[in-house]
Amino acid sequence: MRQGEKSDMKTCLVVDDSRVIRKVARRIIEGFKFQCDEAADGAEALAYCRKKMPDAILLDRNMPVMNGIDFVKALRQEPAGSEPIVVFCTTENDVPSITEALRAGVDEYIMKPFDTDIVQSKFQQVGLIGE
Amino acid sequence: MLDTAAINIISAEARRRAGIAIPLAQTYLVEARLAPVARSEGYDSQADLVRALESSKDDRLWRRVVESLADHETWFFRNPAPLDYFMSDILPVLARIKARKAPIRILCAGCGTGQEAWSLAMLMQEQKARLGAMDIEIVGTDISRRAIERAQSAAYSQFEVQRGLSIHRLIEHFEPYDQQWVLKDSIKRWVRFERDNLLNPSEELGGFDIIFCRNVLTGMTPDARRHTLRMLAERSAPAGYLVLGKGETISGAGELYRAMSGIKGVYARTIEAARQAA
Repeated sequence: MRQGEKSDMKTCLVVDDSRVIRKVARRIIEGFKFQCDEAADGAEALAYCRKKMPDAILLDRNMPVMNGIDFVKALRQEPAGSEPIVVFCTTENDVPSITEALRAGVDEYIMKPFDTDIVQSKFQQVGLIGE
Repeated sequence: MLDTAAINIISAEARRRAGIAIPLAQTYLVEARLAPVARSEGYDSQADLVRALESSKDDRLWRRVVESLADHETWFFRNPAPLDYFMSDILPVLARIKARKAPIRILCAGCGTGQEAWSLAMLMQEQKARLGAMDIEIVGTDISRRAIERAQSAAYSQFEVQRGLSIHRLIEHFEPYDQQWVLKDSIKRWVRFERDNLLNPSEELGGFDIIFCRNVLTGMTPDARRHTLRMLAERSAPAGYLVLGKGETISGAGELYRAMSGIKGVYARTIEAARQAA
């Protein structure tokens, strides 16, 4: 990486208790020229955000310690916690689950399984990347 | 595997019936598209299917083959800028010039599986209050019966509803049904779909105030493109508009349409129509 490039790059925190999914998601998002970090549950993610807010958070729902819904509620209470764009990423695809997540403060919603096209489309929807 | 002779037979018929251009580099696509047709028609291979086509001249089978080659992928709110421009800049002009009670008629020509027509319907539904008493008809046409049937079903897979569609629009306009997402009746009422060939369009469809024909000309031969643009001009209202896809131009039929200054890919039939929306 060239000097100075890192600070210009958008950042994304990938939060999922599955290492495999984190790896897959990370590779896709790095393809959009994001600098990525990972967290394995909501508590880890919250500790990360208290140090430095990322531009985007890709967030799983069901995780040990702190789940995605509790994390996003806690995040939105933090100073500057309204800044990150949170994209939920879950197998729960019923309307009540989607509504619950939107009320808790997520900006977009990916229903698993996902692929590059879907993540790209959702990142475009919320303005994280261009058309 | 199909040999060159077989590919040539298919290409010639696709060109004749639908104006489809198959570049040599894309002959693998012919094999991929013909595989499911061969299977469902009971042939062991694509080569067997082509042999049957040659000997029988079975028109139904030929149509099915050519339609499978015409099928193209699309998604909701694909290249949304011209859709937004239509809603904000062209629709008010049409509302002004239309005779009272005459509906504003919109054609999605080569609509494939229907996402563009449904996207327009979602915009109409969302801006219903602004439309007032305006009567609006959206018609989607495609050469492929299979695509039209899918469009009419208004049912899309989880994969399809996540491309181009925000989660807010998904829960506002769709209902989950049997592993799929189906458009609500409030959206369905805006659109109807008809099978139609752009090279030889049905008179019964009537005239249209705006025609969206996006990402269709790209797959055609230059002759078919010119012919299609002429046919669309005939289907257009005297002061109508035409919208082409990204990277598509009016070349070869420039005398029929004037490019709008404010936005790429949008054309007007007359100078007056171009000025009014600008």
